[in-house]
Amino acid sequence: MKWTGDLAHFPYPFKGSTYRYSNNSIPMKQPYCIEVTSSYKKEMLFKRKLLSDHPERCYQSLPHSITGQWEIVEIVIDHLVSQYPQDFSIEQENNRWIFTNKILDEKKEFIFGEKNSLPCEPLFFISQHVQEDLIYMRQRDDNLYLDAGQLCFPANWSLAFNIGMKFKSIHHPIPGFKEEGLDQRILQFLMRLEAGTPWERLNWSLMAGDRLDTSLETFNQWGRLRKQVTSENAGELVHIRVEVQKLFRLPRTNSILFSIHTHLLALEQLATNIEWLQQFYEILSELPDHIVEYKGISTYKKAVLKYLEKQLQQVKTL
Amino acid sequence: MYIEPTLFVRVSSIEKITKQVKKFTLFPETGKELPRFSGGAHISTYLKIPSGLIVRQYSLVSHPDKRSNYEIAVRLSENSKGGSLHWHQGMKVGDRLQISYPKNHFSLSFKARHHVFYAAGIGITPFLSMMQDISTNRQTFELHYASKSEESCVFHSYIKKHYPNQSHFYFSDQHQRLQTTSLANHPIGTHVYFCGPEGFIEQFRTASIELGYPILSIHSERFSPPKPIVLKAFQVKIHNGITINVSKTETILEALHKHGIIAPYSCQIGRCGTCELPVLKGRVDHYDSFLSDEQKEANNCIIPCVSRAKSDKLVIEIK
Amino acid sequence: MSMDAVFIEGKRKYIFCSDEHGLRVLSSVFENVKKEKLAYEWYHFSAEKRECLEEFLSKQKMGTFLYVELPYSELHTVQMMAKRIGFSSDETQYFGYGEKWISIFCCRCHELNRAEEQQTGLTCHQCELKLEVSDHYSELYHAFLGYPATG
Ligand code: HEM
Ligand code: FES
Ligand SMILES: [Zn+2]
Repeated sequence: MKWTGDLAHFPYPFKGSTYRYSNNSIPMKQPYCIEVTSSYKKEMLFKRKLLSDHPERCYQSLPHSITGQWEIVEIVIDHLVSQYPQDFSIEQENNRWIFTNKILDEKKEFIFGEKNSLPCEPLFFISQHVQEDLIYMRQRDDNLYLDAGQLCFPANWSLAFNIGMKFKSIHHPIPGFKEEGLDQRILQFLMRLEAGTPWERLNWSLMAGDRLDTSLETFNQWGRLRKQVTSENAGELVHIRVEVQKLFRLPRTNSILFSIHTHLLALEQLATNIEWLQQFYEILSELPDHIVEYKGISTYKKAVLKYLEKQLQQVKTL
Repeated sequence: MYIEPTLFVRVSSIEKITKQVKKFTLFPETGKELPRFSGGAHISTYLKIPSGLIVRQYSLVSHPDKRSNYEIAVRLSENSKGGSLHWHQGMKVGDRLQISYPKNHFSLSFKARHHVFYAAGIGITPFLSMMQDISTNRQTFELHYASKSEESCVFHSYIKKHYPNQSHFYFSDQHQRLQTTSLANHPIGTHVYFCGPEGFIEQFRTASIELGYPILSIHSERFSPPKPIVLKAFQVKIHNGITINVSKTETILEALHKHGIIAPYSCQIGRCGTCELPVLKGRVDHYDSFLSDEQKEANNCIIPCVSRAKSDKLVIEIK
Repeated sequence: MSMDAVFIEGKRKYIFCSDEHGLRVLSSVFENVKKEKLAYEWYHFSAEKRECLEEFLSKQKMGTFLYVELPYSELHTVQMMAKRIGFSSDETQYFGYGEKWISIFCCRCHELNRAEEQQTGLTCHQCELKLEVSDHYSELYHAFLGYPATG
């Protein structure tokens, strides 16, 4: 969601002066799969509306994912309660759990592991309490499959199409991924992910507009804004979209939880930090065409560069 | 040096279950429950003894959903270099130790239509949690379990009671032999799992391959002791130019960066694979957890944030 | 799907499954199996006998290798059947012939559209969005993704 917090806490994604696809994962310092930000309430309402209006777009699962879904309920609640004890609590009596969300003033009672004790699937239930999109990658033999997921804020992909898909097939649309052997290396890395050692990485893109729900299904609603970008309006209209992605090994099903927290920052906000402005300008100028094209920036890259140049000039003349 | 995160536990009971095997129950020290695990999972145990740290892997034999404690079964091996000897003679109720989070390198195949377990002696341990997982999945399995005698057969009565129709025992003192011939009878879609002494695993693996089993339908588990790190200085030559010295206390990656050479990296603990570089000459001493055994053996690449040189010099390629 | 059948050594039994038209690709492997005096069985396929095939395949033991050559219209069903029974991709080779249709998954309404193999664009018959056919493939849907057509 549009950044309202302190700029110093924005997950700024760049290091160096060039950007290439690589496995940029690092071990997490704070081992939590979720984060509650100042826009929690607003985003939860929005997310719940999307989930109820467009369930097939935002939620998919295969029947054998239920044990893994409960595992996600367990880890998410544990992390909510440990990190934000003032906002979330859990009472556990054997398998009878009472989960309290004080921010939304809700109390949910269910029997852990008992599907019928909830009105919906476990992953659907818990995703209504976190800003993150939650993807369950099931380890099946020597591969990882997207066997369940709740996805409200995708960066132009379709969960409905990707359900049941292998890791490498999911990444098939990315140019150069296969040719450089990156897909195999990342899969190898993920297969060796261990419980107790979670990882995180940042992914970034640019977008025209400030919608969180840029699903492939609704491309015709939001994609056309790309054509309206000019060097005059780019600061306001164009946003850098950063996904904080976290990877946890789920030990019960020997699978992986992939959580995605999406943040948006208008370029004019980014430009207030001169180092960021300079660095981002360098990176975008140098960005190879295939990445520019894949990220959907081609139509308005020139306008953005021009905008950034103007900002840089202003800084220099100050 | 990267040390994996561990959990602190205490021994809450020790039970001698056969002449040579003791079962240890470990409970979490902090009061926070232990992680669940999947069928076939194991933990590494870290024991501090006066002469150093003993690291050993043991399969978890308790129920995968039980979070209040873990159970492991340790066999006193004749030529124990300290591991099982210490577990058997030194360990007392109340003793404290560190364990890893549960890991699984011996998991049940998802696509299998039928599972067959072949165990010899203490090799039964990973199969206990696997059988529990299968019974809840309502899949089919059989167990073929060889032991010297009924008395020395670990978990014999438990298995007989819970899986009477699926389990088959072979006691050598009663002249029953577990043979590889049964491999020929398994229906298409079967996955076979072997655990026991090295020779036993090898015999069954070879027989399965000869019958035409695909490699991916054959699973086995060996626990290898961790490799102690050898820290010595050596040289690294970049293929098109300079030679740099890597001291005892620095990594290759650090040495490269010190010399202003641009080498990509991310995690710096040998796990993400981002820093991988091609090796043109020299022997690599691999310490990473990224490359597979085959990749390590090929000796044509290195993870420079942790791995080192066995030879005095390595020639690597940097583009 | 590769064009030529490849002989896989070291199996205890080989199964060839095809109809009378589809023997071309398999014949070289078949000759090989005969020459080496290996165990084999031919299964003469017809659409009415699909259930018998299921029974036949279910009776096989580990170490069996399956070669199938059928019209595209039948191939996928047989492939799914063999997979369900337990034949993995390392124990099978499949070859199709004849007319080939593909499915295109509409990125907007999720409807599956039928298209010719070489087709690059189409209009979704349900929501009427203009689609560009991609090579992004889903095994679960046995379909390629149709993206919104640009331009
Ligand atoms: C295991 C969980 C993961 C899932 C479910 C996942 C899923 C996806 C999806 C759906 C896309 C969009 C593909 C499309 O255009 O249809 C994508 C893009 C991408 N993924 Fe992943 N991914 C995962 C992990 C990773 C990891 C660990 C990396 C490490 C480098 C990675 C790197 C990328 C990159 C570089 C892109 C292109 C993004 C861009 O240029 O904006 N992914 N991923
Ligand atoms: S930097 Fe991650 S493996 Fe070396
Ligand atoms: Zn449509």
